[in-house]
Amino acid sequence: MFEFMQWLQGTALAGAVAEVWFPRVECLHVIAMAMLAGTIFIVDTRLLGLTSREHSFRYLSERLLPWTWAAFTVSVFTGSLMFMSNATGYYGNSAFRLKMLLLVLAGLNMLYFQFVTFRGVAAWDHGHPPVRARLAGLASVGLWCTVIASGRWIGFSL
Amino acid sequence: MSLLLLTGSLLIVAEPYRTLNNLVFYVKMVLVILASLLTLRIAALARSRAEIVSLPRTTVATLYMLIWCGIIIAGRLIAYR
Repeated sequence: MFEFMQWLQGTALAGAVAEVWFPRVECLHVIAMAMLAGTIFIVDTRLLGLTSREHSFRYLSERLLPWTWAAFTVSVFTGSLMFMSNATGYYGNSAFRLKMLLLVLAGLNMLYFQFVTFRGVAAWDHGHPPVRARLAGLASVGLWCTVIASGRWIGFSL
Repeated sequence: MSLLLLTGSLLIVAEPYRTLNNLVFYVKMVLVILASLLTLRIAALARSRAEIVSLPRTTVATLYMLIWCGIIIAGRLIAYR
């Protein structure tokens, strides 16, 4: 694995990011992160029954989630470029590893919600979400906040 | 917004020389003031309801998003100056 990281870091693209593009790529990453977390929190607070109660859950999520996925795509792309620029450093960095773990947990939370809890959405689409849905919203807010915090921490600990 | 202003102020207090001698920091502050004025203006128009129909909504929304992207970019670039 470490050899692969060394090879990745040695590519011309990685060199260009490290020497020239890093600040610009990082700005794009932060803008995408704001859109990603912003749209996720709007849906999560609706799940918690705190906001947007005049809209059904499906109405809100169908309109916002395409933007969430677009922002996620940009985040992954820009994040990968930054990772390449110092692959060996990020690979061994605890904050980076924690962030990846938290991203996986956020993904699992989303999958469980989508394929289990969301199936019964018809019963609460217009009303107050049940405990299971509220727990999913709470977990999502918590996980994404810690994803952002650990991501910020990579910059302090590298 | 309150949380942003509070934590941002703490960051300035922690390293005043690094931020207050930084041109990019002032660019960011001008953009923050612009965004705030725009928000207040739109809120006033929305309350009066009379002119809201004639507002060039797409233009205002695009301008607003560009200002906020500028704030994020300037904020991130403070660390590089």
